[in-house]
Order: sequence, then C-alpha cells, then structure tokens
Amino acid sequence: MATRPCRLPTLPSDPTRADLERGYVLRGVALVECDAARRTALDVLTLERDMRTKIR
Amino acid sequence: MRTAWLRALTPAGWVAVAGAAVLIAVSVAGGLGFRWDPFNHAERRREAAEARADRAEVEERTRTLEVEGGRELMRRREVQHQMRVQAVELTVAAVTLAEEAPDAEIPLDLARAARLRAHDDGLCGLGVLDCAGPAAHPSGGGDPPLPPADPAV
Repeated sequence: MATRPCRLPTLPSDPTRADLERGYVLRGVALVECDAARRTALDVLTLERDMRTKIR
Repeated sequence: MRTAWLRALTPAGWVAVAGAAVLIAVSVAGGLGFRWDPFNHAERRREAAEARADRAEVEERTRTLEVEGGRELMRRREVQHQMRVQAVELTVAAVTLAEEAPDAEIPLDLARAARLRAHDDGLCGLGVLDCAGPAAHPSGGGDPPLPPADPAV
C-alpha cells in the first residue's frame, strides 16, 4: 500500500456544485487512506528495528 | 627365585609385562583424574557446545520477538482498518448529502472550475500523486476500495 502514491481526486469535466463538494470530502478520505498506508509502513519499520535492538 | 622368574621371561614376555604396566599406569592415572589430551580436544568440544547453545538461545529469542512483533503489527493494522472504515462511512454520508442538495446540479462557475483544475494540474505535475481522475462515490465505482486488514503489506 505504501508503495502506491497518494490519491488526489480531481474535478470531472463540466463540474457541478455537488462535484465540488464530493471532491472536497473525498480528498479527506484519500488523506486518511494515504496516512494509514504511511503508518503501516512506519509500524513495520519501527517494529523490525525494535526487534533487531532487542536481539543484540 | 625372583631373579630366576625374571630370567625365565622371553622377549615376548617382557613386551607383555611392559604393556601390562602401561595399562595399569594409565588406569591408575585416569582414576586419579589425569587426562591425556595433548591437542586440547575436550576444551574445543566444550567451546563448540557453548557456541551451539548460544546460537540456539538467540534463535529462540528471535522467534519469540518475531511472533510478538507480528501480533503487535496485526493489532495496529486492525486499529487502522477500523479508522478507515469509519472514514469511508462518514464520507459516504457526506457525499450522499452533497448529491441530494438542492443546488447539486448547478454547474460550477467556469472560472472557479478553471482555477481549481489549474491547481490540481500543478499538484499532479509534481509527479508524486495518483491523479487518476474525478472522484467517484466512496461506496463504490472508481474510487479506491477500502483495503481489507490483510497481514500482507
């Protein structure tokens, strides 16, 4: 997941006001998705480092 | 009489007597705790056994830490999964309200749409984002599906 770039929902052609509002809230959920992927990658990294430290 | 016994021994007999003497000496020395180990084999065996024990201890400790780390990772991923589920639910509700709003179908002002599109183009031009296109309804369609809490990253 973290290897994929973060998604940026964009406006369609001939956008309506609903498209603007939809895009606004979908950017929020895209941010949550992207941050979750970042956290997962970071968790794996920190847990691996902790494990190596404990083994030494 | 003693001298006669010694004189009676043949060369083979002397060899037998010498061998018996050596065996007795070795047995007595062994019983007293002496060990004949000129190449220090016993010490090397002890060191090798200690090294094997150390390796086994490290491997066991590594396995334990891997299991503990795997459990902790699964716990954190489950927390993140629940957070994403909540985010999607909130977004579905918000998008539904947006689509049902009285002014939902009113076209966006062309100048505003152009400004927003130009900004998006600038961000997408950085080359670090996935600018696949318009946002679809979060409950399905072209929007990214909610990934399951899969242990495989």
